[in-house]
Amino acid sequence: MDGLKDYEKVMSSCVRCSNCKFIPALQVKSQRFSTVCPAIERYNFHAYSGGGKMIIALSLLKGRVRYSDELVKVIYRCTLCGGCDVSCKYFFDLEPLEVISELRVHCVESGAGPMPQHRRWIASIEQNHNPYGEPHEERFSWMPRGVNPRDSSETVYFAGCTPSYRRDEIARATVKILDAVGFDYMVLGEDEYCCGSPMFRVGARKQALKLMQRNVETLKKAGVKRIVTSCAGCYSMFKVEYPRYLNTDFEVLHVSELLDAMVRSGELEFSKDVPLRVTYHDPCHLGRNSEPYIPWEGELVKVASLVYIPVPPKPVRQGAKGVYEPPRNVLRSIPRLELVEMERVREYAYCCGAGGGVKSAFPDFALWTAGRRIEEAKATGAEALVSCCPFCATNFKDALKERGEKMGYYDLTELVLKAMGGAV
Amino acid sequence: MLSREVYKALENVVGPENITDEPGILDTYAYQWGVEVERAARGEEPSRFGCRPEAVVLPSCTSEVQAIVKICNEHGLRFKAHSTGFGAWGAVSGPRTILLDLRRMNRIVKIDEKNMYAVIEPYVTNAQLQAELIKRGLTHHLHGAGPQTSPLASHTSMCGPGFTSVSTGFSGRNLLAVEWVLPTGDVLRLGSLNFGEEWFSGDGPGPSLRGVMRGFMGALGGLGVFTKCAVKLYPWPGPREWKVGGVAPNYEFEIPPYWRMYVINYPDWDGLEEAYYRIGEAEVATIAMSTSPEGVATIFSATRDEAISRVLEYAGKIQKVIVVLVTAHTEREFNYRVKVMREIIRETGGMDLIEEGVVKVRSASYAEGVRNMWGSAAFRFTSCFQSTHGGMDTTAMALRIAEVNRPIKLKYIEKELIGDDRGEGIWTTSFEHGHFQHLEVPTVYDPTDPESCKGFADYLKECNEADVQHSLGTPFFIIGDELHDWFGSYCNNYQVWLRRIKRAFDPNDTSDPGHYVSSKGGGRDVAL
Amino acid sequence: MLGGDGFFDELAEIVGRDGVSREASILESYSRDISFTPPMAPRCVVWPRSGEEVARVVEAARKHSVPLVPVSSGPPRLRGDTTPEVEGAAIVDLSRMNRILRVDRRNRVVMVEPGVTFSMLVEEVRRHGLRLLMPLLPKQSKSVLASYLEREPVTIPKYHWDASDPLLCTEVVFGTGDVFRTGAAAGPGGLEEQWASGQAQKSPLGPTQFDPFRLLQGAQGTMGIVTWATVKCEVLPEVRRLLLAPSDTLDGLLDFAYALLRRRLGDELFILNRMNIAAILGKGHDEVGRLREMLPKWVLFLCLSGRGKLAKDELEYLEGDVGDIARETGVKLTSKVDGVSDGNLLGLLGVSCEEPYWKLRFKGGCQEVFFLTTLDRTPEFFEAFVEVAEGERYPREDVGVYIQPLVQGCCCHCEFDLYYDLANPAEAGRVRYLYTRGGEVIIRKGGFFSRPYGPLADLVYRSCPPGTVEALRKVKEVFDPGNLMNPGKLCFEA
Repeated sequence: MDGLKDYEKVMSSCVRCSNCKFIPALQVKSQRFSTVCPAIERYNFHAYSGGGKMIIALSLLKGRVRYSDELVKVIYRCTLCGGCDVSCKYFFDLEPLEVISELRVHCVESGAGPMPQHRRWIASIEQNHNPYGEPHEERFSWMPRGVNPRDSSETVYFAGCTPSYRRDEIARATVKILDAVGFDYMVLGEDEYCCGSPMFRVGARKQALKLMQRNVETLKKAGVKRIVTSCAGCYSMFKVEYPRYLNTDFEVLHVSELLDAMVRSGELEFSKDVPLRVTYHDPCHLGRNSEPYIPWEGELVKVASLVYIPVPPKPVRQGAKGVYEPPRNVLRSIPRLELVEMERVREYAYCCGAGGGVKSAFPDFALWTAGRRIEEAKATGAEALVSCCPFCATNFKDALKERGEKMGYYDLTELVLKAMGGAV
Repeated sequence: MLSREVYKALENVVGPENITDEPGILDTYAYQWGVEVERAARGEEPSRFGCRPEAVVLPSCTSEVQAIVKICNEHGLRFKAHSTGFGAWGAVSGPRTILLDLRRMNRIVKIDEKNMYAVIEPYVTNAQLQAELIKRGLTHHLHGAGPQTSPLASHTSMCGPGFTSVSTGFSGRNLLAVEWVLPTGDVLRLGSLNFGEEWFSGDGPGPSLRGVMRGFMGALGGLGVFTKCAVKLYPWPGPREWKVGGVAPNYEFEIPPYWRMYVINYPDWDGLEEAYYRIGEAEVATIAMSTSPEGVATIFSATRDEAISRVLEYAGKIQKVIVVLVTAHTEREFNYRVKVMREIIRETGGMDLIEEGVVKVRSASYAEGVRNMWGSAAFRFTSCFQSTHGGMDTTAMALRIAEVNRPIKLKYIEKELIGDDRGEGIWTTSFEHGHFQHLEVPTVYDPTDPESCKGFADYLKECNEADVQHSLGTPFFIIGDELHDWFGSYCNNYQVWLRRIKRAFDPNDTSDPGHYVSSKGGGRDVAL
Repeated sequence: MLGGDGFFDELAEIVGRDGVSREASILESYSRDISFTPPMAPRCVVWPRSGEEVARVVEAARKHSVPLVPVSSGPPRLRGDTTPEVEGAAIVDLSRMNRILRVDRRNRVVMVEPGVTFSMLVEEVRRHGLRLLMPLLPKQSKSVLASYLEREPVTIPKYHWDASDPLLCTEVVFGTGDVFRTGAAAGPGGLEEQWASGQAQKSPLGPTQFDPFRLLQGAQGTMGIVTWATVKCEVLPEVRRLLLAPSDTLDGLLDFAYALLRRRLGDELFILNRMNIAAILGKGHDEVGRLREMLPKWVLFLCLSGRGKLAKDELEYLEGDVGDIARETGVKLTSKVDGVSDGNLLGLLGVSCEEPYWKLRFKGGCQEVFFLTTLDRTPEFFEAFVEVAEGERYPREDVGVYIQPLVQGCCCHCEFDLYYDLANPAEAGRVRYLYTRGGEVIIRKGGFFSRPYGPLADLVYRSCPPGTVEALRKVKEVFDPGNLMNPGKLCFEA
């Protein structure tokens, strides 16, 4: 791989059509909820769009510009949500998200990036194995009494840094559910380190890969064949990036998938009503960005002048194979819970605003984006917003509080536990 | 480089967050699809990076636009208006030019349901406007550049064909009143807007200044900034909820009752031409357009792979087709229209390939048609094309363009400079129930290959020359001094009048003349 | 005094001795009309017979600095646009340029010289299976080209896609003396070459990045003289049916009208009040007065038609859908109203008016007050105008009203016809005052005089932002820098 150079043809093929700023046109049902890119919606210059960042990458590659503080901010005021990627691929054979990710790697490797806040928590990961600067030994202090994971199992519940240190209600709800159904799983305990997502997303790929390699060795040593997580960020890493870069073949499940399977098989039953109207937010890393990466080893075969056909057909990742139905199925099976949908859902869902290092480097922007999504949630008449990602959870809760909103927020696991008659 | 004094003056107008002269950001405005062809034509290295603006400003309202334009006048700078900015004409054409990105001006100001017009700002997109109109049982004319582009830009400043043109016309003919910031910074109001907040007419009092504003093509930023306009609306023949479900890429549209698609095949141009005339006169179509077999394959496909297999599937089965969508508001109307179509198909010797089972149309294609997404389908195969020709008059002339173009295109295909579509890649649509027709020839080229870019530029030139030689109307891209001076010599030297208008309204060329005419001109003022 | 006999002699050389006149009675007939425009005698009248002669006339005028006033229609003239504003002007009467140059059925277009009237053209195009987009009962001598140049309202809103319709391409001699063709006619290629490539001078747009034809429209001849034009036609129906919707109130018809406009149902669609229906049907003052008393206060006219082989099917579905809409909007449709049957009225659609011109039958004189607004505001404007009228002791029942939806329903021509006895100075004075006073009220309420004639033009342009007047003057400067073309009209200097 030669970094940005490998993407030169892709970058040069952008026609600057602006599709990347909006959800796929066929899905537009209103002006208000037609956009998909929080970055350009907030900052307005074309540079902030998916296509804009591709042009910046090309400009850097061609030596037309150099990094500056302003340019680095443009690059990092982006959650890497992938909305641009889905919209672009409706018609084009381009890879905006790949280019944007590569641009960040280029930025880091040139020394210009990442943002100072990112550098701080990268150091924390390296030191404490979590980005929060929290003591590693307290990683599992959230574990409730009376919950007993196995000492060993082929299935590990990978809690993740954010559930462990910031959103422990998610981790606690998850293990209580798993325990209640007698699910066979273990936890890594002090062997659980950050999955590498924060580093990876901000372009510190070399460092991330080192950490990821270490994690693979740890998991293999523990005899793990299946990873279950209730963090969308970790899910996306294990599902997409680990196989892509390290050839892993773990079975990776998000807890929503597990719960969906259990509800359908009857293993999991709900005894308590949860009379609540909710709307479900698709986390980017559980949705469009969790579609597995399928390497393509084919070639472009010329069939006529300037007409090339990929042989074998090149798989297109356009978010279709993300995890959309399982959380919804689970919600629909909770007694008296009413699920109403927002306009922007599934592979064209609007981002919560937290990812890609935005929450730490540009907290106002993160809250601004969450505010937009909350407006959309409110427009459905829902009383609460539900999702499956601890990072979305933090950002939405912060925004709801800042805005003085009455709307509640729940993780899927919290509602499931409620419906089981339990409490976090 | 912009002086700090000017930067500050502009910053005082829009606020510090809404101005930039950061080179990396400026480059995202310098980069445009089609610049590589303009450069190749000039013998330069084909690159999509054209001229960088001095700065980009984001005004939020008309008074800010005025202030910016006045500052430019004061300091001898140029300016260029830009909204969704899709195409080489979206970039500035020379140095010392401020680019006004009108993104923050994105309000749908008013929808007058009864009198069927909407007032919009520059950054409202086609999809956004249509989505809001459908809730009210209305739609508008969406132009072919796509649902993500600006109808204000098309109606005031660009061209105007769209896939629904047979029933919704041409952008330039759908315009009512306009609010216009002139190159001086003064506001000019057209039509009824002169007498209060009334948007229903853009003509008068007396002569219509819409005649200065644009023609077949708009001024492409060469005559100021259009900050609001009123566009005509049309009845929406379906329920007031747009229902699209399914899983990407296989979206599913709930096709309203009384909608029916046809793909009518003819062995030759004669039958096709007759069909256009008959369908136009019958006033039954919502869409009536033609493209090549590859075009048909891609507009009805959800993915490139699907398009490729359809191409193979259609091989030998599609010659000359007209794709028609019939819609109606009532069962009676629908039954009548379907009966008419049946008669027309029979009498013109056509064959409905959908009825014959040759072409299967997914439900999403209906939605993509009325949302004018089919143009973007052309990008599926190679991610790059541009059109030559584009003349608009009668059906007969339009189809003649295809015949004249083919040998030219085949020549360049043989040299492997442009994409091989057997010379059959066209797009033509009927307008206003058959009163007008245009035809353009989408042509694939490789923007990263200098030979291909130069080849395309040469091919474009030859197509323009063919339009002149065979009297095939005005092609799209006769813009800029040089082309106007050349083409004008075959057209009553109109460029003299155009330049006089430019001089009258913008003697200092403050509004970027690069894709319009300049007041001084490329050549001398030709004696008429 | 400009020019001199040299100018007249030159004209005679161009058009022949019988093509030019200085005879007093002839000059008198052009020096005034029925409007309130002050009379002004021209110096001479010239009747060119070809575009080439027009160009030479304009050259001569430039040489001798003689203002020109183009006229295409014959009398009676009601608007003052062809009465010179300045001394020493020459009338260029184009009525002898009356060739129908080309009828193209396939492309639904016809090419005409300025002297072609509706009377002449309707029959000719009918023979080819076509029909024109007509104003309502134009006078016998009305020039088709002039009507369309002046953006006169046409009676079929669904065919009115753009305010400029049905005018397409033109050939014009600008005030500079240059001959120019607008729209697709500009080129490339001459007309023969264009026809050979299948063109028919259909597209009015361009050439390229401006639309000079729009600058000629509404210009009252102040930019140049148009020597031919192509105009859009439609297919002649096989069957037609006229439906009438009588109503006591104007409001009661609007929902029905809006529903039809939205669906583009029906052909002719307009509303008249009893005064104007009577004026159309009656032969003289007494008959008009009598009819007026019998008629419903307001009538909406809707003509449905069927075309081609499935004409009857088309008519049938239209009748069904329109009937449903009528029921939904509470309108009763009929083919008869008291005093008339549809037989009378259907014959009045798509034709010129028999002499005498209907607007003069009631009292001999008529001052039109017309402007654009939206259909929903027409009752409001009507009430405001009749209030002014009654304040001037002008009887409410004498105000004729014609409401014509345009541009597929986006706006509406609203016309108040003030009938008066030409021979009665007191009445004329009242109407004159009412004309300007009513105009002021209309402007204040947002009514748009898109085609301002005579004394009202001053008021209109004074009420306009100065920037608009400035822009129009810039255009004038481009196409007629010498101010030869009908000087003093609209907002241009005399």
